[in-house]
Amino acid sequence: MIEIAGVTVRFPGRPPVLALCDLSLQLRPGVTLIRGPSGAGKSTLLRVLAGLQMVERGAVRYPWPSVEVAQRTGYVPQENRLDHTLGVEDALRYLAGVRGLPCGRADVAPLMARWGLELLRRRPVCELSSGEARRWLLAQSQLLDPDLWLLDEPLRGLDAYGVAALRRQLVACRSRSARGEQRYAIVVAGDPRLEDLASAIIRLERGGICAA
Amino acid sequence: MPDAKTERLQSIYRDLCAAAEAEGQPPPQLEDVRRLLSLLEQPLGAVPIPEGLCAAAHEALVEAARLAGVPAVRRRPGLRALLRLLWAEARFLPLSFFALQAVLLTVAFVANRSLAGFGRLTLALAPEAGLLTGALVRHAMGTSADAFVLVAPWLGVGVALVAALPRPKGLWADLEALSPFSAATRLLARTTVATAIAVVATCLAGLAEQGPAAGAVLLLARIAPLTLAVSWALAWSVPFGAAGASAASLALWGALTLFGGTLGRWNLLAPAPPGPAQVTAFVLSAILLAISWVLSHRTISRAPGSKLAV
Repeated sequence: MIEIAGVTVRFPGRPPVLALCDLSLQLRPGVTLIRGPSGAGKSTLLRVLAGLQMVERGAVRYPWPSVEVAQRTGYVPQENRLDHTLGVEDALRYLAGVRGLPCGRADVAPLMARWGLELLRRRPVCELSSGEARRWLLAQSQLLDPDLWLLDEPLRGLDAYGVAALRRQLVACRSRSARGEQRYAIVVAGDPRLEDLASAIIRLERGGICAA
Repeated sequence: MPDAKTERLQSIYRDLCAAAEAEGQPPPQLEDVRRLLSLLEQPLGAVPIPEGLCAAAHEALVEAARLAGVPAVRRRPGLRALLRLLWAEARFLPLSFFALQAVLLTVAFVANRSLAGFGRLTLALAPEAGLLTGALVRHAMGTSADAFVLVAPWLGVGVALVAALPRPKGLWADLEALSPFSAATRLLARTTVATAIAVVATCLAGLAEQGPAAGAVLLLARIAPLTLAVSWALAWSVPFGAAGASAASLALWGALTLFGGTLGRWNLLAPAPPGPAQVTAFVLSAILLAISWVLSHRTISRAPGSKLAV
């Protein structure tokens, strides 16, 4: 179980923006859907879980040592704009190397096939369309077979092929968690197409839980 | 509204049906699955497990280990992973790095040519190069390869800026941050690659100009300031980031180029065979690298108790 205990995140500004306010939450293995209006703190919550966002107060407790969080996390950010000139395949290989994983062509080939990126191998990631960039972001999030898979609006711009691939992966995550593995997929999605896969739905509103 | 138990049953039943379909088997009966689940839950149900027990037990064990002086168990990336990181940094070095190197080497070349009598033209064309030229003249640098000694650290600062500043916190930075290596280790890897390229370039330039016999001795004199500049920048980058490292490097090199001439044989930039200044630079580099290493590890171990979420 992942335990979020009294987490507060405030962004500087005039006035400062309170993104998460004393949020306490327990996440169980499986697929958890997070919903809420814009500015509710959904993306901030995912960034906190990924260890990318500093918190003003509170803590997150994982079922594994906290220094291993980065090694167990796959993250798909909300935005699609990739400002890098590396090709699709090279960018995947680079990120694999940065994560200490095997980074040969053969090592990323299954991911490229899974997310339908084979024909885009050499295209710079900055030139990908919105849907293609989404598929690339999903592919990079699975470089290390994550125990904690954080997906921020994964359906945004995703085509039918991508949606089907995503559903397959979420079903696999749910099956493994049902077998007792500590596998979490935390999905921020207002789209109802993933609702049937969710084992829990959490609604955030203005930085706190509205309903779970 | 179905309760949690029914939801769980339905979820497992759906998965089993999907698995059976994939295997070409008939779907299981819901009642069979319900009976099996209740059978599995019996022993667990007999002992109520308090909410958050595992997290609390883990925290207590970590604290007890800390008090007993036992190092926390962590799955650190090994040597193979580190080599993969180095390879990735070398293989996918951004083109802007080479572009910047080309620009700075051109500046160095222009500055050097100015020593050979083209000073006025250089100052007219490139005032920035004129500043370098002034330092070069003050130190009476007579050969073109020696110009690299003064330019290399500026090159290093430029490389640090290219590596860090053009990528402000954004999507790509987030993707890079999800790495088992600390930011300091990743910076060290990038610096290692950049230094290796600079050393090779310096060696080739020296050998081409001086020949193997004279060049080998002078190379040490050139590499000493380079390694000092790199390790100095790295030590500052761990606590203060790329901007701190760049400022520290500029301060160090500004002081050396402006006041080095007054240090006599301790002048690190003197175009002479290696002396005490160069030896001291190598020793200082090793100490600074050790400090960087310790600082980066302290940064990692501090993370769970710090204001970082993890």
